[in-house]
Amino acid sequence: MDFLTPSEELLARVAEGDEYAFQILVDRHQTPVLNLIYRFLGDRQKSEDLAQETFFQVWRSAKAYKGKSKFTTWLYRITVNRCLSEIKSARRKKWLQFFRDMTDPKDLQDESLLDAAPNAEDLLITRERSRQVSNALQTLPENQRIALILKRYEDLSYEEISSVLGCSIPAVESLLVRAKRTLQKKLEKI
Amino acid sequence: MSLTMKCHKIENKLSAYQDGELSASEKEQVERHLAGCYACREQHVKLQQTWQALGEMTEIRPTPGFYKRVSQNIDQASERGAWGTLLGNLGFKSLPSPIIASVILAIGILCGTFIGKSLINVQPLHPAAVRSEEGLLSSLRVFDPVPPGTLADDYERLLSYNESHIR
Ligand SMILES: [Zn+2]
Repeated sequence: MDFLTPSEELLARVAEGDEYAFQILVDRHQTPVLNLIYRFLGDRQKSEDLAQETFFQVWRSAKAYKGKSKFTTWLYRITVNRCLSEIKSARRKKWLQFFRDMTDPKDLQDESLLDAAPNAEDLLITRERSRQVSNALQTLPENQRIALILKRYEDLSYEEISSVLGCSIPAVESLLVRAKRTLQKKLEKI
Repeated sequence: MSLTMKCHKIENKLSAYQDGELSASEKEQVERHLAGCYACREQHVKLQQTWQALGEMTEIRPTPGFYKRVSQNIDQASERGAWGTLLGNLGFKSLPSPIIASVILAIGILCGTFIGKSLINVQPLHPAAVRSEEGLLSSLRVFDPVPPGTLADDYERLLSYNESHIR
């Protein structure tokens, strides 16, 4: 077992409690999982927490993997479910956040902008554009957003996206047409 | 089919064309149309620009020790074991642990009291026992004068000094 072992095979070992296999699996997939969540939520700190919870879920559900889909499809399904349940609980906490924002307005700012060095103008522009893209993504309905992120940043096929979302391939096509149309309008101004 | 009707149909196919998801015949149909239609060609360029712009969202890296924290979470969860799972399933996960601890403590005290009462039959004190307790109290001779020079004697004198001055 090494860094060339397919993820599906590693997961089978994880199901038997192999921690080394799990470590290789986490090292291999932590960045795409983290970025999928980050692009979906637009919150860096929360993304790290959710990515950890996602891999915790992978450890716990390893036995349930039947090998019917690719490992990444299965992994992204867990990730997406975690994101959606986070959004649900965030909606429940929204009224609480409302009071917190009133008492602590700096929470409203993106922290990735706060830690920028004042003289690094290029870096600041890059971060500003990144933030604008992120904000544009946040305006999309959840399913459109997931479909678009999986296509644009993970280069999944329509078939794989349909498997992650549990919908048909024409439905994925339609989600992407609408997502791109909205983003085109939002990003034209940048 | 009129050109605008065709344009509308092609426009909806441009996204899948961009993603490389069209069949060979559909792909050829789109390319033939694009070659002869400026409006659709422009729309295709805009779509490509949007795709490009999306790449400007920077990728983030996991913080160092990512795996270590995941494995710590797993260790903690297995230590919590059945109780943690049970409480989590019951919806206690979102409550802070002091609240859980207090609730468990309160339930414990209530159960303990109930079990204690049902197991041990509490009898009123026998008159003889009461008499013997009176005997014990009188043997302590609490109202006898304290021996002079002791700490208790000093304290008593201090009290009486204060009392005489207040009056
Ligand atoms: Zn046209």
